Amino acid sequence: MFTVNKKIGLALLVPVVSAGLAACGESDPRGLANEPYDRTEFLLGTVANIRVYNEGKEEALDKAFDRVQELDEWFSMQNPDSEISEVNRQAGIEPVEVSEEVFLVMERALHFAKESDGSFDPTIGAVTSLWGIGQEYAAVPDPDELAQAVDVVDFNKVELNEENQTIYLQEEGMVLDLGAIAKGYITDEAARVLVEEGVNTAIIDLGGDIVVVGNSTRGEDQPWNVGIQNPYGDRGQIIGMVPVSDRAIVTSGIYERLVRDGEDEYHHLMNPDTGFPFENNISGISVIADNAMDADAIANIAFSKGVEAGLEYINSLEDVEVIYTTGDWEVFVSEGLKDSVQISDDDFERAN
Amino acid sequence: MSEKIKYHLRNMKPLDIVVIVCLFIASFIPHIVYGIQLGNIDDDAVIIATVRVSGEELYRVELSEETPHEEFRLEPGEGKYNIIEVEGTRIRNREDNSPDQLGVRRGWISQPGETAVVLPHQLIIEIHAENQDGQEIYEEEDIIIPM
Repeated sequence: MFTVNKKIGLALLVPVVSAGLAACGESDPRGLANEPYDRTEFLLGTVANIRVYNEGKEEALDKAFDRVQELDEWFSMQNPDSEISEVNRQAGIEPVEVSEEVFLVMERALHFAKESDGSFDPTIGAVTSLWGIGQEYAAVPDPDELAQAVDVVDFNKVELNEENQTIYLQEEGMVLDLGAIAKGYITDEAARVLVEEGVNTAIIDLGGDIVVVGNSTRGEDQPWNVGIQNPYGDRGQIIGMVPVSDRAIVTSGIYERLVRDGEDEYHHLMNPDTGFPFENNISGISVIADNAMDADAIANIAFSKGVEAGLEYINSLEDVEVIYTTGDWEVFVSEGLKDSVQISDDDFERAN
Repeated sequence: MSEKIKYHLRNMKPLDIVVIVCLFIASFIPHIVYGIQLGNIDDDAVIIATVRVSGEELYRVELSEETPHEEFRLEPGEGKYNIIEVEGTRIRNREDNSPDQLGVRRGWISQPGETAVVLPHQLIIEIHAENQDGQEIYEEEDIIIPM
């Protein structure tokens, strides 16, 4: 009798266990939620979107946004209360003590300024504020004013004091603009906060600076596929995609922020030597690197070099990749992407 | 070989058959459960468009064949205006006075996941799918579309 009972018990257990096992087969060890926590806000003068895919990590999303907002206040050149604005006001007067974060980004910016021989220059602020691209007053500046602004662009005149954590602009009228690189840093910081909160699958997109945490929701070893913006299409229209995991990809182009003057269009990537936008055949550039801050600076440098020298530069760097689109609807990619980039738009042609 | 099978059949007890039948039926449970779930989603899904300014939701509409044609004006800031148009299954930022006109050029949007952004006005039109309980249905995206 006892054994029969046992058998019945066992038999009844079978459907329960098998249903349980079936459920396990569907689940993923990363603890993903059915739907991501997804939020979009207007920050840093652009659209910021963060998506967290881990179950129960909604709070991490809040913390990441808090961090973005905080850093925006320190780095913004437009905000008169920011640390950067204070450094600018004290140009030629005295060194200004700044936060660890601003100091770190400043150091990194100077590193890239040296590496690029000044084609990337964080003291470009005098020029960029004259153009005001992205602001409502954007217009082509007066040539005399522009020439004066170009005169004070010189990263060699930025004095850092590590001990006191101060930044000093040696010449009056000098203006720091860390915008080109701070956006990347803030994106990295948002990702860092998420990871610290136990998130292992997320996407952070701060107006084209993207950091992906972990791998795609398609599977634990499946990379995210990031779209490549069509430089001539509307925002969100893509020409193809590139697989990326646990890395940053930043995109910049002549299409994003423009000033129009009659027939002429001026994009926002300024040449520190001329005070005018760089002139070359590049219509868009995406750089993949370990972090978005470096990717931002490298994208600026790779843009200034033009396609040929730019590819050479990127190929000489470790773990950095680039995708160029040109005015002739061609696509050039660096060595490491030759087999992985997919171009699906027939108007564009792979040129290497 | 057939000897072995005969031997096992001879030794089978009635409860063995119960166990086998239970296992057989149980093996279909996941299919039935997921089938019901998926069926529910497809039947109940509605497409919702929202318009938000500076993060605050100002307008929400279901986009379907029966949605009446509608056009309205929003003033997201001093001296700023947007005219939003809803027509059946689609919505657009028909007209605004932003400098770049990117939101106007975006044109009609109708698919879940699509957005139209007017950056200078901090205005965003978003489309998503939700079920009858108002719960958002998330579609697995294969490609990350940069902002």
